[in-house]
Amino acid sequence: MTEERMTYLLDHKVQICTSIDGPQALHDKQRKLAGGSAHGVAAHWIARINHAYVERGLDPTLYHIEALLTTTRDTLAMPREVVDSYIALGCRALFLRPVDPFGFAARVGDRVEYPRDEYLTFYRSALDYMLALNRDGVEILERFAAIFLTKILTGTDPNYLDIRSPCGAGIGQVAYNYDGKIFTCDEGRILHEMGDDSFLIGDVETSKYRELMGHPTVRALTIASNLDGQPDCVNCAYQPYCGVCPVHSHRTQGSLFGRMRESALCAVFKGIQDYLFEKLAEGDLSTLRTFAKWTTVRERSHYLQAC
Amino acid sequence: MTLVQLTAQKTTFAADCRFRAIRDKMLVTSLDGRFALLTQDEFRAFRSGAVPPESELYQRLSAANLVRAVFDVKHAAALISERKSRSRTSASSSTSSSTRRDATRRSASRSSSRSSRTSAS
Repeated sequence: MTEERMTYLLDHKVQICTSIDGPQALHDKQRKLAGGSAHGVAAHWIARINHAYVERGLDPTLYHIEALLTTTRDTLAMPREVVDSYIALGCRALFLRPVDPFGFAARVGDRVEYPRDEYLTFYRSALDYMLALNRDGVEILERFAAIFLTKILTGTDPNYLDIRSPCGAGIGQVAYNYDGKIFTCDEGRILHEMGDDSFLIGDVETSKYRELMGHPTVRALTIASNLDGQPDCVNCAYQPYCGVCPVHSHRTQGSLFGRMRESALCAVFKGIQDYLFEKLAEGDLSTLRTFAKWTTVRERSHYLQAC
Repeated sequence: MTLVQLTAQKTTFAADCRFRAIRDKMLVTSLDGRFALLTQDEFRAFRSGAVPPESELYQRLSAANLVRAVFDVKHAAALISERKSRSRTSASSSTSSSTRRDATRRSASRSSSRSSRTSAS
Protein backbone atom coordinates (compact mmCIF):
# COMPACT_ATOMS: atom_id res chain seq x y z
CA MET A 1 0.00 0.00 0.00
CA THR A 2 1.12 3.53 -0.74
CA GLU A 3 -0.55 6.90 -0.27
CA GLU A 4 -1.15 7.04 -4.02
CA ARG A 5 -2.80 3.61 -4.11
CA MET A 6 -4.87 4.35 -1.04
CA THR A 7 -6.15 7.59 -2.60
CA TYR A 8 -7.03 5.77 -5.83
CA LEU A 9 -8.95 3.07 -3.95
CA LEU A 10 -10.82 5.55 -1.79
CA ASP A 11 -11.61 7.79 -4.77
CA HIS A 12 -13.13 4.75 -6.50
CA LYS A 13 -15.11 3.72 -3.41
CA VAL A 14 -13.41 0.36 -3.05
CA GLN A 15 -14.14 -1.24 0.30
CA ILE A 16 -10.88 -2.35 1.85
CA CYS A 17 -10.28 -5.16 4.29
CA THR A 18 -7.18 -7.01 5.40
CA SER A 19 -6.03 -10.01 7.37
CA ILE A 20 -4.97 -9.81 11.00
CA ASP A 21 -4.16 -13.05 12.79
CA GLY A 22 -4.29 -11.64 16.30
CA PRO A 23 -1.57 -10.18 18.53
CA GLN A 24 1.59 -8.90 16.81
CA ALA A 25 3.81 -11.85 17.74
CA LEU A 26 1.32 -14.37 16.39
CA HIS A 27 0.60 -12.38 13.23
CA ASP A 28 4.27 -11.84 12.47
CA LYS A 29 5.00 -15.52 13.03
CA GLN A 30 2.34 -16.51 10.50
CA ARG A 31 2.77 -13.72 7.98
CA LYS A 32 6.41 -13.05 7.51
CA LEU A 33 7.49 -9.76 5.97
CA ALA A 34 11.11 -9.45 4.93
CA GLY A 35 12.80 -6.71 6.92
CA GLY A 36 9.84 -5.72 9.07
CA SER A 37 6.74 -6.51 11.02
CA ALA A 38 3.74 -7.48 8.89
CA HIS A 39 1.48 -6.59 11.80
CA GLY A 40 3.12 -3.19 12.21
CA VAL A 41 2.64 -2.35 8.53
CA ALA A 42 -0.97 -3.55 8.56
CA ALA A 43 -1.72 -1.62 11.76
CA HIS A 44 -0.19 1.53 10.25
CA TRP A 45 -2.38 1.35 7.14
CA ILE A 46 -5.50 0.48 9.09
CA ALA A 47 -5.05 3.64 11.14
CA ARG A 48 -4.12 5.70 8.08
CA ILE A 49 -7.10 4.58 6.00
CA ASN A 50 -9.52 4.98 8.92
CA HIS A 51 -8.23 8.54 9.29
CA ALA A 52 -8.71 9.11 5.57
CA TYR A 53 -12.35 8.02 5.85
CA VAL A 54 -12.87 10.65 8.55
CA GLU A 55 -11.12 13.27 6.40
CA ARG A 56 -13.63 12.49 3.66
CA GLY A 57 -16.52 13.12 6.04
CA LEU A 58 -17.58 9.48 6.39
CA ASP A 59 -19.03 8.18 9.64
CA PRO A 60 -16.19 6.23 11.30
CA THR A 61 -18.66 3.86 12.99
CA LEU A 62 -19.72 2.69 9.54
CA TYR A 63 -16.62 3.24 7.48
CA HIS A 64 -13.46 1.72 8.84
CA ILE A 65 -11.12 -1.08 7.94
CA GLU A 66 -12.21 -4.54 8.98
CA ALA A 67 -9.94 -7.54 9.14
CA LEU A 68 -10.22 -11.28 8.77
CA LEU A 69 -8.64 -13.78 11.10
CA THR A 70 -7.36 -17.20 10.14
CA THR A 71 -7.48 -19.37 13.23
CA THR A 72 -4.42 -21.62 13.39
CA ARG A 73 -3.26 -24.06 16.05
CA ASP A 74 -1.32 -21.25 17.76
CA THR A 75 -4.44 -19.07 17.90
CA LEU A 76 -6.45 -21.57 19.91
CA ALA A 77 -4.74 -20.73 23.19
CA MET A 78 -5.41 -17.01 23.01
CA PRO A 79 -9.09 -16.19 22.40
CA ARG A 80 -9.06 -13.10 24.63
CA GLU A 81 -5.79 -11.80 23.24
CA VAL A 82 -7.14 -12.07 19.70
CA VAL A 83 -10.27 -10.11 20.59
CA ASP A 84 -8.27 -7.47 22.44
CA SER A 85 -5.87 -7.06 19.53
CA TYR A 86 -8.75 -6.35 17.16
CA ILE A 87 -10.28 -3.79 19.50
CA ALA A 88 -6.88 -2.11 19.85
CA LEU A 89 -6.78 -1.72 16.05
CA GLY A 90 -10.16 0.01 16.02
CA CYS A 91 -12.04 -2.93 14.48
CA ARG A 92 -15.65 -3.50 15.46
CA ALA A 93 -15.98 -6.94 13.95
CA LEU A 94 -14.02 -10.13 14.16
CA PHE A 95 -14.38 -13.11 11.85
CA LEU A 96 -13.16 -16.20 13.65
CA ARG A 97 -12.60 -18.31 10.55
CA PRO A 98 -11.10 -21.76 10.98
CA VAL A 99 -8.18 -22.67 8.78
CA ASP A 100 -9.35 -24.01 5.42
CA PRO A 101 -7.88 -26.66 3.13
CA PHE A 102 -6.87 -24.27 0.36
CA GLY A 103 -3.66 -22.57 -0.67
CA PHE A 104 -1.06 -21.78 1.95
CA ALA A 105 -3.02 -23.48 4.72
CA ALA A 106 -3.05 -26.72 2.73
CA ARG A 107 0.72 -26.61 2.34
CA VAL A 108 1.40 -26.14 6.04
CA GLY A 109 -1.57 -28.07 7.36
CA ASP A 110 0.57 -30.31 9.54
CA ARG A 111 1.69 -27.23 11.47
CA VAL A 112 -1.48 -25.15 11.63
CA GLU A 113 -4.38 -27.64 11.60
CA TYR A 114 -6.30 -28.89 14.66
CA PRO A 115 -9.36 -30.95 15.55
CA ARG A 116 -12.55 -28.95 15.09
CA ASP A 117 -13.74 -29.55 18.65
CA GLU A 118 -10.67 -27.57 19.79
CA TYR A 119 -11.67 -24.78 17.42
CA LEU A 120 -15.17 -24.77 18.87
CA THR A 121 -13.79 -24.52 22.41
CA PHE A 122 -11.77 -21.52 21.24
CA TYR A 123 -14.82 -20.05 19.52
CA ARG A 124 -16.96 -20.38 22.64
CA SER A 125 -14.30 -18.74 24.82
CA ALA A 126 -13.88 -15.87 22.40
CA LEU A 127 -17.65 -15.34 22.09
CA ASP A 128 -18.17 -15.46 25.86
CA TYR A 129 -15.52 -12.78 26.18
CA MET A 130 -17.03 -10.66 23.41
CA LEU A 131 -20.46 -10.87 25.00
CA ALA A 132 -18.96 -9.75 28.31
CA LEU A 133 -17.27 -6.81 26.57
CA ASN A 134 -20.54 -5.83 24.94
CA ARG A 135 -22.18 -5.88 28.36
CA ASP A 136 -19.55 -3.31 29.37
CA GLY A 137 -20.32 -1.11 26.38
CA VAL A 138 -17.57 -2.23 23.99
CA GLU A 139 -18.92 -2.71 20.46
CA ILE A 140 -17.42 -5.81 18.93
CA LEU A 141 -19.22 -8.53 16.97
CA GLU A 142 -18.30 -11.89 15.53
CA ARG A 143 -19.23 -12.38 11.88
CA PHE A 144 -20.19 -16.08 11.91
CA ALA A 145 -22.53 -15.36 14.82
CA ALA A 146 -23.96 -12.29 13.09
CA ILE A 147 -24.60 -14.24 9.86
CA PHE A 148 -26.37 -17.11 11.60
CA LEU A 149 -28.28 -14.87 14.02
CA THR A 150 -29.59 -12.73 11.18
CA LYS A 151 -31.04 -15.85 9.59
CA ILE A 152 -32.32 -17.27 12.90
CA LEU A 153 -33.81 -14.13 14.41
CA THR A 154 -34.86 -11.98 11.46
CA GLY A 155 -35.90 -14.50 8.82
CA THR A 156 -33.78 -12.77 6.23
CA ASP A 157 -30.53 -13.77 4.60
CA PRO A 158 -27.47 -11.55 4.87
CA ASN A 159 -26.23 -13.15 1.64
CA TYR A 160 -22.96 -14.50 2.92
CA LEU A 161 -22.26 -16.63 -0.09
CA ASP A 162 -20.46 -19.48 1.65
CA ILE A 163 -23.39 -20.12 4.03
CA ARG A 164 -26.30 -20.04 1.66
CA SER A 165 -28.54 -22.60 -0.01
CA PRO A 166 -27.65 -22.81 -2.81
CA CYS A 167 -24.21 -21.31 -2.29
CA GLY A 168 -23.07 -18.31 -4.27
CA ALA A 169 -20.64 -20.09 -6.59
CA GLY A 170 -21.23 -18.59 -10.02
CA ILE A 171 -24.77 -17.43 -9.27
CA GLY A 172 -23.81 -15.00 -6.50
CA GLN A 173 -20.15 -14.37 -7.13
CA VAL A 174 -17.32 -14.95 -9.53
CA ALA A 175 -13.59 -14.66 -8.99
CA TYR A 176 -11.22 -13.11 -11.51
CA ASN A 177 -7.62 -14.23 -11.47
CA TYR A 178 -4.85 -11.82 -12.34
CA ASP A 179 -4.38 -13.62 -15.67
CA GLY A 180 -7.99 -13.07 -16.75
CA LYS A 181 -9.31 -16.51 -15.91
CA ILE A 182 -12.74 -16.58 -14.28
CA PHE A 183 -13.77 -18.99 -11.53
CA THR A 184 -16.98 -19.85 -9.72
CA CYS A 185 -15.56 -18.47 -6.48
CA ASP A 186 -12.31 -17.63 -4.76
CA GLU A 187 -11.92 -21.18 -3.46
CA GLY A 188 -12.14 -22.43 -7.04
CA ARG A 189 -9.52 -19.86 -8.06
CA ILE A 190 -7.20 -21.01 -5.30
CA LEU A 191 -7.58 -24.64 -6.35
CA HIS A 192 -6.54 -23.55 -9.86
CA GLU A 193 -3.40 -22.12 -8.30
CA MET A 194 -2.90 -25.54 -6.73
CA GLY A 195 -3.24 -27.28 -10.10
CA ASP A 196 -6.95 -28.18 -10.08
CA ASP A 197 -9.00 -26.48 -12.83
CA SER A 198 -12.34 -27.98 -11.83
CA PHE A 199 -13.90 -24.58 -11.15
CA LEU A 200 -12.54 -22.63 -14.12
CA ILE A 201 -15.54 -21.35 -16.07
CA GLY A 202 -14.15 -18.82 -18.50
CA ASP A 203 -11.82 -16.01 -19.45
CA VAL A 204 -12.38 -12.26 -19.51
CA GLU A 205 -11.20 -12.09 -23.14
CA THR A 206 -13.54 -14.67 -24.60
CA SER A 207 -16.39 -15.61 -22.26
CA LYS A 208 -19.88 -14.16 -22.42
CA TYR A 209 -21.87 -13.52 -19.25
CA ARG A 210 -24.58 -15.98 -20.24
CA GLU A 211 -21.99 -18.69 -20.86
CA LEU A 212 -20.57 -18.18 -17.39
CA MET A 213 -23.93 -18.22 -15.62
CA GLY A 214 -25.12 -21.29 -17.50
CA HIS A 215 -21.81 -23.14 -17.31
CA PRO A 216 -22.19 -26.85 -16.43
CA THR A 217 -19.88 -26.38 -13.44
CA VAL A 218 -22.06 -23.58 -12.08
CA ARG A 219 -25.14 -25.78 -12.50
CA ALA A 220 -23.42 -28.68 -10.73
CA LEU A 221 -22.38 -26.48 -7.81
CA THR A 222 -25.88 -25.06 -7.49
CA ILE A 223 -27.36 -28.54 -7.27
CA ALA A 224 -24.68 -29.80 -4.89
CA SER A 225 -25.13 -26.88 -2.49
CA ASN A 226 -28.91 -27.02 -2.34
CA LEU A 227 -29.55 -28.27 1.19
CA ASP A 228 -32.93 -29.70 0.20
CA GLY A 229 -30.96 -32.28 -1.76
CA GLN A 230 -28.23 -32.98 0.78
CA PRO A 231 -28.91 -36.31 2.54
CA ASP A 232 -27.72 -35.15 5.96
CA CYS A 233 -28.75 -31.52 5.74
CA VAL A 234 -32.32 -32.14 4.68
CA ASN A 235 -33.27 -33.34 8.15
CA CYS A 236 -30.92 -31.13 10.16
CA ALA A 237 -32.53 -28.64 12.54
CA TYR A 238 -30.16 -25.98 11.20
CA GLN A 239 -31.16 -26.49 7.56
CA PRO A 240 -33.03 -23.16 7.26
CA TYR A 241 -29.95 -21.21 8.35
CA CYS A 242 -27.02 -23.15 6.96
CA GLY A 243 -25.04 -23.75 3.79
CA VAL A 244 -22.39 -26.01 2.33
CA CYS A 245 -19.34 -25.32 0.19
CA PRO A 246 -19.08 -27.88 -2.63
CA VAL A 247 -15.54 -26.74 -3.40
CA HIS A 248 -14.57 -27.56 0.19
CA SER A 249 -16.26 -30.97 -0.17
CA HIS A 250 -14.47 -31.54 -3.50
CA ARG A 251 -11.13 -30.68 -1.94
CA THR A 252 -11.53 -32.62 1.31
CA GLN A 253 -13.79 -35.52 0.33
CA GLY A 254 -13.40 -35.87 -3.44
CA SER A 255 -17.06 -35.17 -4.14
CA LEU A 256 -19.04 -32.00 -4.81
CA PHE A 257 -21.82 -33.34 -2.60
CA GLY A 258 -19.52 -34.51 0.17
CA ARG A 259 -20.59 -36.34 3.31
CA MET A 260 -21.67 -33.81 5.88
CA ARG A 261 -21.43 -36.08 8.90
CA GLU A 262 -17.68 -36.31 8.23
CA SER A 263 -17.23 -32.71 7.08
CA ALA A 264 -15.07 -30.39 9.16
CA LEU A 265 -17.06 -27.44 7.83
CA CYS A 266 -20.35 -29.00 8.91
CA ALA A 267 -18.87 -29.63 12.38
CA VAL A 268 -17.96 -25.97 12.66
CA PHE A 269 -21.32 -24.66 11.46
CA LYS A 270 -23.23 -27.03 13.71
CA GLY A 271 -21.01 -26.18 16.68
CA ILE A 272 -21.48 -22.44 16.22
CA GLN A 273 -25.23 -22.76 15.91
CA ASP A 274 -25.30 -25.04 18.98
CA TYR A 275 -23.59 -22.25 20.92
CA LEU A 276 -25.98 -19.60 19.65
CA PHE A 277 -29.08 -21.62 20.47
CA GLU A 278 -27.69 -22.43 23.91
CA LYS A 279 -27.41 -18.70 24.52
CA LEU A 280 -30.91 -18.11 23.15
CA ALA A 281 -32.22 -20.85 25.43
CA GLU A 282 -30.49 -19.28 28.45
CA GLY A 283 -32.36 -16.08 27.69
CA ASP A 284 -29.94 -13.67 29.37
CA LEU A 285 -31.30 -10.22 28.49
CA SER A 286 -27.91 -8.65 27.93
CA THR A 287 -26.92 -11.44 25.54
CA LEU A 288 -30.22 -11.19 23.68
CA ARG A 289 -29.75 -7.43 23.30
CA THR A 290 -26.27 -7.95 21.91
CA PHE A 291 -27.52 -10.64 19.52
CA ALA A 292 -30.26 -8.33 18.29
CA LYS A 293 -27.69 -5.62 17.72
CA TRP A 294 -25.53 -8.01 15.72
CA THR A 295 -28.38 -8.63 13.31
CA THR A 296 -28.84 -4.96 12.54
CA VAL A 297 -27.93 -4.23 8.95
CA ARG A 298 -26.30 -0.83 8.70
CA GLU A 299 -26.16 0.21 5.08
CA ARG A 300 -22.87 1.45 3.77
CA SER A 301 -24.25 3.20 0.72
CA HIS A 302 -20.98 5.01 0.01
CA TYR A 303 -19.68 1.78 -1.54
CA LEU A 304 -22.67 1.30 -3.85
CA GLN A 305 -21.86 2.10 -7.44
CA ALA A 306 -23.98 2.16 -10.55
CA CYS A 307 -22.84 -0.18 -13.31
CA MET B 1 -33.92 -37.77 23.24
CA THR B 2 -34.67 -39.51 19.97
CA LEU B 3 -37.94 -40.39 18.35
CA VAL B 4 -37.29 -44.01 19.36
CA GLN B 5 -37.59 -42.94 22.99
CA LEU B 6 -41.05 -41.55 22.42
CA THR B 7 -43.59 -44.18 23.26
CA ALA B 8 -46.68 -42.59 21.79
CA GLN B 9 -45.91 -40.59 18.69
CA LYS B 10 -48.82 -38.96 16.91
CA THR B 11 -47.91 -38.19 13.33
CA THR B 12 -50.90 -35.98 12.61
CA PHE B 13 -50.24 -33.26 15.19
CA ALA B 14 -46.79 -31.90 14.40
CA ALA B 15 -46.11 -30.18 11.12
CA ASP B 16 -43.03 -31.21 9.21
CA CYS B 17 -40.10 -30.11 11.31
CA ARG B 18 -36.56 -30.91 12.36
CA PHE B 19 -35.19 -31.08 15.88
CA ARG B 20 -31.95 -31.17 17.82
CA ALA B 21 -31.02 -31.40 21.49
CA ILE B 22 -29.64 -28.15 22.91
CA ARG B 23 -28.39 -29.05 26.39
CA ASP B 24 -31.57 -29.86 28.38
CA LYS B 25 -33.88 -28.36 25.75
CA MET B 26 -35.05 -29.49 22.35
CA LEU B 27 -34.78 -27.11 19.44
CA VAL B 28 -37.52 -27.61 16.87
CA THR B 29 -37.31 -25.73 13.58
CA SER B 30 -40.12 -25.41 11.09
CA LEU B 31 -39.73 -25.65 7.33
CA ASP B 32 -39.73 -21.88 7.06
CA GLY B 33 -37.05 -21.35 9.72
CA ARG B 34 -39.14 -20.33 12.71
CA PHE B 35 -38.24 -22.24 15.85
CA ALA B 36 -39.24 -23.21 19.37
CA LEU B 37 -37.05 -24.28 22.27
CA LEU B 38 -38.93 -26.88 24.27
CA THR B 39 -38.31 -28.66 27.54
CA GLN B 40 -38.13 -32.43 27.36
CA ASP B 41 -41.69 -32.70 28.66
CA GLU B 42 -42.95 -30.15 26.16
CA PHE B 43 -41.20 -31.95 23.34
CA ARG B 44 -42.73 -35.25 24.41
CA ALA B 45 -46.17 -33.64 24.45
CA PHE B 46 -45.51 -32.06 21.05
CA ARG B 47 -44.52 -35.31 19.38
CA SER B 48 -47.29 -37.29 21.01
CA GLY B 49 -49.91 -34.69 20.12
CA ALA B 50 -50.91 -34.14 23.75
CA VAL B 51 -51.04 -30.35 23.54
CA PRO B 52 -54.44 -28.75 24.30
CA PRO B 53 -55.31 -25.94 21.86
CA GLU B 54 -55.92 -23.52 24.72
CA SER B 55 -52.48 -24.10 26.25
CA GLU B 56 -49.56 -21.69 26.16
CA LEU B 57 -47.44 -24.39 24.52
CA TYR B 58 -49.93 -24.69 21.67
CA GLN B 59 -49.69 -20.95 21.08
CA ARG B 60 -45.91 -21.12 21.00
CA LEU B 61 -45.91 -24.08 18.63
CA SER B 62 -48.44 -22.57 16.27
CA ALA B 63 -46.57 -19.26 16.28
CA ALA B 64 -43.56 -21.19 15.00
CA ASN B 65 -45.74 -22.93 12.38
CA LEU B 66 -45.18 -26.31 14.01
CA VAL B 67 -48.81 -27.43 14.33
CA ARG B 68 -50.22 -29.25 11.33
CA ALA B 69 -53.82 -28.26 11.97
CA VAL B 70 -53.06 -24.55 11.75
CA PHE B 71 -50.10 -24.71 9.39
CA ASP B 72 -50.02 -21.44 7.49
CA VAL B 73 -48.91 -22.39 3.99
CA LYS B 74 -49.04 -18.88 2.55
CA HIS B 75 -47.02 -17.38 5.37
CA ALA B 76 -44.51 -20.22 5.22
CA ALA B 77 -44.13 -19.76 1.48
CA ALA B 78 -43.61 -16.02 1.93
CA LEU B 79 -40.94 -16.60 4.60
CA ILE B 80 -39.09 -19.17 2.51
CA SER B 81 -39.29 -16.84 -0.47
CA GLU B 82 -37.82 -14.04 1.64
CA ARG B 83 -34.97 -16.28 2.77
CA LYS B 84 -34.22 -17.27 -0.80
CA SER B 85 -34.65 -13.82 -2.32
CA ARG B 86 -30.90 -13.30 -2.62
CA SER B 87 -30.57 -16.44 -4.71
CA ARG B 88 -32.77 -14.94 -7.40
CA THR B 89 -30.30 -12.23 -8.27
CA SER B 90 -27.31 -12.82 -10.48
CA ALA B 91 -23.68 -12.57 -9.50
CA SER B 92 -23.32 -9.39 -7.52
CA SER B 93 -20.08 -10.02 -5.71
CA SER B 94 -16.73 -10.24 -7.39
CA THR B 95 -13.40 -11.12 -5.95
CA SER B 96 -10.39 -10.05 -7.91
CA SER B 97 -6.97 -11.43 -7.30
CA SER B 98 -4.50 -8.68 -6.65
CA THR B 99 -1.68 -10.83 -5.44
CA ARG B 100 1.77 -9.97 -6.64
CA ARG B 101 3.20 -13.45 -6.33
CA ASP B 102 5.01 -14.78 -9.35
CA ALA B 103 4.48 -18.07 -11.13
CA THR B 104 7.12 -19.92 -9.16
CA ARG B 105 5.31 -19.17 -5.91
CA ARG B 106 1.80 -19.65 -7.21
CA SER B 107 0.62 -22.05 -4.57
CA ALA B 108 2.38 -20.36 -1.70
CA SER B 109 -0.34 -18.12 -0.46
CA ARG B 110 -3.93 -17.15 -0.78
CA SER B 111 -5.22 -14.09 -2.46
CA SER B 112 -4.52 -10.91 -0.63
CA SER B 113 -7.80 -9.48 -1.71
CA ARG B 114 -10.51 -11.67 -0.22
CA SER B 115 -13.63 -9.68 0.22
CA SER B 116 -16.16 -10.01 2.98
CA ARG B 117 -18.21 -12.10 0.52
CA THR B 118 -21.50 -10.48 1.21
CA SER B 119 -22.79 -8.83 -1.88
CA ALA B 120 -24.79 -6.50 0.34
CA SER B 121 -21.72 -5.14 2.04
